[in-house]
Amino acid sequence: MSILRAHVFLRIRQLAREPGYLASTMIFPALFFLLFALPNADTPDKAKFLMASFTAFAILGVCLFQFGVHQAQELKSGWYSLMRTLPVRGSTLFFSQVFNTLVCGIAASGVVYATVEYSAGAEMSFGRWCGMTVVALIGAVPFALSAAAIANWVSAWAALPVFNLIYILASFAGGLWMPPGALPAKVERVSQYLPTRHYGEILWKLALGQEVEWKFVGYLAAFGACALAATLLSRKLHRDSQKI
Amino acid sequence: MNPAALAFSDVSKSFDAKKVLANLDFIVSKGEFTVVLGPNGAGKSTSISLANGLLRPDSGTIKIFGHLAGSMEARRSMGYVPQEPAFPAHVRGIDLLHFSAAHSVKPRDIRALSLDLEMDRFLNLPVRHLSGGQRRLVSVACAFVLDLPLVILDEPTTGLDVEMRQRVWHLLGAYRAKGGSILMTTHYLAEAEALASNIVVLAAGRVAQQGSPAEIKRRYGYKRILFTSEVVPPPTLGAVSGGEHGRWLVDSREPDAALNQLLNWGKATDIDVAPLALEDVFLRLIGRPG
Repeated sequence: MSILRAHVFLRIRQLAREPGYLASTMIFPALFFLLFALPNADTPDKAKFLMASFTAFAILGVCLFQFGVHQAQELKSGWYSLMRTLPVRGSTLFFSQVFNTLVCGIAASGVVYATVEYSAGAEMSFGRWCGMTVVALIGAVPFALSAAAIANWVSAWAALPVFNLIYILASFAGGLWMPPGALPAKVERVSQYLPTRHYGEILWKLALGQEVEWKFVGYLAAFGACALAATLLSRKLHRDSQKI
Repeated sequence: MNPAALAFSDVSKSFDAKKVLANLDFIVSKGEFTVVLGPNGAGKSTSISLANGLLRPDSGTIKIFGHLAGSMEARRSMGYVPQEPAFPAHVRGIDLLHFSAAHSVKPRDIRALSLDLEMDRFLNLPVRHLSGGQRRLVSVACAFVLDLPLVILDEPTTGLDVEMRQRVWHLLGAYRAKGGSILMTTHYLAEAEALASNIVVLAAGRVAQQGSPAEIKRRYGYKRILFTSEVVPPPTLGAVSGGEHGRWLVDSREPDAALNQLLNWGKATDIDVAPLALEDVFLRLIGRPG
């Protein structure tokens, strides 16, 4: 337990001293809402819909940065290798990262909630927001896994631009910035096949108090299974290809 | 029988088609200070990465106190100092020491260790503000704070100034005096000669020679004969070099015979015979006579 605590604390210290990371993951989604989505949040239901969208956008960002950018940088810098020589289980390394992702994800989601409530009056109860955030965090697991798979293949320098590109494209085309109906027709056609769209569909239904369709959950679960397989495979290939 | 602190048994490792290590066999006995020497590309760092479990051998086994390298039991017995310290840039040195200490059941006192290495004036700074040498000291301290029976160090003194290097040497000496075992790579031959109880010379992925520094020099058998002569010595003496200001040298495996020949020749004065320095032996072992 003390080893897990040491890993969690070190990661928290690492993030707390990196204002660039905190600003981009905590403030960026809420700022984006204020700049581009606020004019469309003119009724409580629209505000709730956009709150769900930007909650998904915020948590997606945390996952891609924690499991993608940070992991790629750790893998390539040698820090991850150094940790693997310590008497620590792989599960401890994983859970410390998951814990920090949860903390950052909840914080980022909280900033979105406060911003949308204050600026647009979404009138979403705190209980519903908590439920939606829990589902958003669970639903983000496939994205975290796919980010971990990609992290094995990108260089430390390329990680930030690569994951930024994925983040922006997947969010936009998945309908997290503007409702799918407002997307250009061609993008909307592609959108239906994107995991971010299915992720959004689940959260939109929850935010509006509607029943979630299982097909979206199933699609996301299938994507998660593929992402898990890709992560395990990329880990094995990465380890086998290490040259000292 | 008590297992060795570290044992390489018939270890081979290739990357793609290139064989980096071939049938490597050596042990680090308990309480021994083993230094692995070799030119760049000889397989030193690969050996270290195999020993700490970051790489797996293609064949053969590596055991730490009887446990397979990389296993949890093996990792509970060793500290590791990498060639390039790679710490998160925003974290302070003191945080890293506490983090490292959390992995040991009975870690060393952090304050005492930082005083030993004279690190207290920079331990509260983020790693990104430290010099290369200071980062290396933090890295060394992170391995020793664990207070485990084996420490593996990959070129720990590269880039350290004289003072810092002496502090690390002192730490290594004190650790060994307490019964700790050490495996270290270095490019500094004088460091190896001064610290090691056992030296393993790697050349092209194989053990070219191993033993104590004195044993290696003795086993190698060459002695250096220095003499003064106004005329060029006869080629029968062997590979004679030098000649500046009339001073010549010859490294001979049969120094008595060479000396007799030199005396019979009668044109040599100021004759000195000395064992080769470890550096000269090393250069000859790796096929690059100095």
